[in-house]
Amino acid sequence: MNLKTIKLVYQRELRDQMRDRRTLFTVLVLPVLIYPLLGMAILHISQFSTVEPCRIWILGGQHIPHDSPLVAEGLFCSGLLSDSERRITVVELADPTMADVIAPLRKFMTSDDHALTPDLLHWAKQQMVNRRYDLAIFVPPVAGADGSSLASMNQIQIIQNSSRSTSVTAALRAQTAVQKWMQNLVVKNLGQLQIQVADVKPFSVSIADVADQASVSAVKWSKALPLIIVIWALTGAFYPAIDLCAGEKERGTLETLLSSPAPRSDIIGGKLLTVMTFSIVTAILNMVSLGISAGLLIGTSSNSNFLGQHFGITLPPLQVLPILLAALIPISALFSALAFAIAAFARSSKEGQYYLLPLMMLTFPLLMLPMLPGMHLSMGTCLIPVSGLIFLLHSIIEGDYGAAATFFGPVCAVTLICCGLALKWSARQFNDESILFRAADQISLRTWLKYWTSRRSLAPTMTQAILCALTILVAKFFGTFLVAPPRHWDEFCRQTVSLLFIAVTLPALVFAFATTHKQWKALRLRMPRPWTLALAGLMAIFLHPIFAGLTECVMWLYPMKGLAIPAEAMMSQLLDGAPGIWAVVLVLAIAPAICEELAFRGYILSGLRSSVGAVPAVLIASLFFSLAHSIVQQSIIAFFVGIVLAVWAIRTESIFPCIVFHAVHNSLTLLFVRIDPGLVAASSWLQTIVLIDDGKVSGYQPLATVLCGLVAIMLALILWRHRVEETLLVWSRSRRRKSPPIAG
Amino acid sequence: MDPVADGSDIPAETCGVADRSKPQLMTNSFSPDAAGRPLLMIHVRHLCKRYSDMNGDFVALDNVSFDVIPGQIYGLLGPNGAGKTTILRILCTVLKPTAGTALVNGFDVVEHPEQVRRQLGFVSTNTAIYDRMTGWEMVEYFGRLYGLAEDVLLGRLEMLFDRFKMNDIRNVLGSNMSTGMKQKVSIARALVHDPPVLVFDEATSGLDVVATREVLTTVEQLRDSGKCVVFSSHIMSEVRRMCDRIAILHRGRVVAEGNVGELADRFKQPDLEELFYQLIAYGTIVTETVATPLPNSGTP
Repeated sequence: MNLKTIKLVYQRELRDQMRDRRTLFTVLVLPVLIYPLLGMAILHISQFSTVEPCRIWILGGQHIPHDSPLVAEGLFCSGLLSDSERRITVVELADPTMADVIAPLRKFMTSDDHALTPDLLHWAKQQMVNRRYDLAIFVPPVAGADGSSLASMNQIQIIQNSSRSTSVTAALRAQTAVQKWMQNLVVKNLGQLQIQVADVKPFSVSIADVADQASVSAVKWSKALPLIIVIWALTGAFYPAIDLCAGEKERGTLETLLSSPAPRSDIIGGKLLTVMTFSIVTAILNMVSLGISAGLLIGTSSNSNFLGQHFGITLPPLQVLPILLAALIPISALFSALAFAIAAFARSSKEGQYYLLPLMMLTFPLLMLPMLPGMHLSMGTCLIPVSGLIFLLHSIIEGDYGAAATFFGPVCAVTLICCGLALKWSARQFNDESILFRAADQISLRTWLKYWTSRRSLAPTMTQAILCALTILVAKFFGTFLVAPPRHWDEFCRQTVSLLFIAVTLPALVFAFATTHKQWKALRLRMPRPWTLALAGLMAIFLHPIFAGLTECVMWLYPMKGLAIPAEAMMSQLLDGAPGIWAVVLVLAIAPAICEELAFRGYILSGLRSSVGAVPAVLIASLFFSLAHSIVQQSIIAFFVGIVLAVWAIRTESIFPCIVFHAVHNSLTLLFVRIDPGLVAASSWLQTIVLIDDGKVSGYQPLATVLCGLVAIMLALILWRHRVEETLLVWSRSRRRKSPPIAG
Repeated sequence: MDPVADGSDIPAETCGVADRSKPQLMTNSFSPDAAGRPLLMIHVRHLCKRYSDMNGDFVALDNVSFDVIPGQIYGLLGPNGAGKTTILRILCTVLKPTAGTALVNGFDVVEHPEQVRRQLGFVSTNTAIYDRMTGWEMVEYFGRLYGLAEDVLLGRLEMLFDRFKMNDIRNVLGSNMSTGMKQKVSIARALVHDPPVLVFDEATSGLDVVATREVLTTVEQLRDSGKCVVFSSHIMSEVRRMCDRIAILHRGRVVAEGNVGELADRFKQPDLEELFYQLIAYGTIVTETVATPLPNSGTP
């Protein structure tokens, strides 16, 4: 890398973007304008909300006691509403004889339960429209006034039209006024009966807040500010990235640059720095503009303090700004690299812009996670990309510096790893000439099918492998929701095996037959030597304590929550109904081992391996294997188990050792929790292996875990010492190599 | 869309793969030898390029070989899609060959791409100029990318802007220039580092008569000053006027190679346009061993 060249490219790109009106508007002008405009809109809305008058129509007003009036001079009585609201709430009493003329109304007034009939509602709606009332209030005769009992409560019925906002506003005001009026009436009646109010209502409930307004405001800002920064860092990166990659392709200047002696790494460096600069500047401008607009809206004029009055928001604490700026650098780096990689793929600016929405949609769950109630910075949440950083910012803005300091390291590590991966991806995209000079493909189902069937090869391609994996994930998703929860073991057994076969194995088999002409090779169905099967089984046994420890760590990081707990309880119940442990092992260990290995270590890994190196292939296949597990905690462990299985598959070119490993691992996991603690207590050698805590088998002894880990490493070394062909019973390539040279 | 197939897919008898394990910096080996043979500035052997996409495999170049010496204009003549641009993109290291070798002034395009790019200037319909940069800024920027010292760069800029009469568009943005002006800036950009090799890919495409004449004159002047020029075109008159040697390309293969006179003698067709048409229309498998006019060769 030559810093001088990077600087040259950076300066040019920066100047180029500064001369582009569209980019300038989107990235620099829009953020500056949007908040003042938003502020103006809020001011207008606040004016609307305070001046909106409404008209209320009371039917049966003659039934209101004369000594406790609700209405006076066309308005609610003084004291029932705030003065400003009272002045703009016109109340009219209907003609007292109306109830005699209108049949549905008469029925309402005279019936005991005062039920609203559809006829009455229809009539009321028509009247409200014709007479231009926002609200109607039906007041039935007071029960007991004519000598009947007071057993039933008098129902004052407010009729609103919730499809009209003025009607909803009127209903809220009327409800407040009527409740206040009823309260006064009760106090008056109690006074007449010489009963103290405290005897009827001994307590009243009110809430007091010890938090000062600044803290409350900080919590609200802690939710809003990181979100704003992330969204604008992404938007600010996206448009320049599209212009600098797809735009240059479209305008023909990219080839000019590529034919210069500047190395591609320097071009990528200069362009990425430009994208990052715009991302950072956009986010900063947003913060500044938001700060100034919010300051004006909240701080200066008391009349316009709409946000403060309605949402309890004050100015954001100034000390958080440096922290936000520091966090902005990794966020911008991450999104710049992602946007750059996508922009390198796009053929034109227009195509590039289509990719913004999917990128936003993929980012949104990570942005929304910290917004969920009850979520906070912990060892588990801090390891989630983007979300962890937002959680950290929340903690800092809220003043929880202890938690922030504890998780600062892991958050930084995760963020740096993500940035590194995104940068690597973007460099790869830019260096790949098949992507950089991608021509328009004629996409049609017919072409696809023809392409696939005519190009059946020994191994599937990466695209085919990923499509197969996605098909499996979608099939599993729908399969899980389509089947009803099993009621007993037999049903559970049928559902599990069917789902595994239909959603996991079948797609892999269909893909293998459709895209390859040596399916046994694509699915890695080569016969291994027996010792590899034994070695795989032994390794599963000796690695089990490590995975058990890992499971404990995962459970500590991400404890079971929500739906996972009842699901686990249901599973325990179902397993209890099994005819024997052999059945549990068959359904939950051996069946998944066969079905999942065919798909994940068979077809998918073969496809990935044909296009990328061993390490990315192993990681991607393991990621898909992990995603195929519905419970998060299970997915994390499956990822690591998947890595070991994929390594086995690559080292032996066969899935049979993987099936053995998978089946043994699953069986041990199922059997381990069923070990009788009494048996452990009685056996001294079992006590050296198994850990008993609170009368239950809770894990392996640390020493046993370490020793088992060492044995597992030795077993791995044994496998490593053998070439791939030595692990198989038949190896065509090796036989060819050994064939004697032709004489002459 | 799919990755380019690797060299192993190409039959050995069609595309020879060079041994790149040895250094290819062979400037001395191209020096005039004892027999007085001239230095080879461009040396292409068995060049192949294959793409693979939804519509199947596509052979863009199939076993292309040719040499160009300094002070020579070498013409690549072929219809659209014949593979001219692919050859030139490989020479400029923008694309990598699937098989075969290409050396520019002794530097291998795969092993030493940056050195190769320093040896040549590339003008193509695909190498546009920046819309939001002035003519001066554009040429200056590329001069800096080539690592020219400030005083040298300033001298080159003044010389080029005077030579191509571009002083009135010094401060005009690319977006406000005419096609002819843009092409002038492109040529100045390609010449800013005074390279020994120049590549012109359909350089007169879309230009008016005056601008075309200016470009052609410039190319001739460059040849006369000892530069090695590769000139691709599908316009017969340009090729006839400019090129010292011609390779006629069709569907990625060189179907004929030589100077205009040699080709006319070999195919007994003095009209270059007619010769070209016959080769393209009937000669998908015609080789240089065919000594009779092509319509009589019996190929449909």
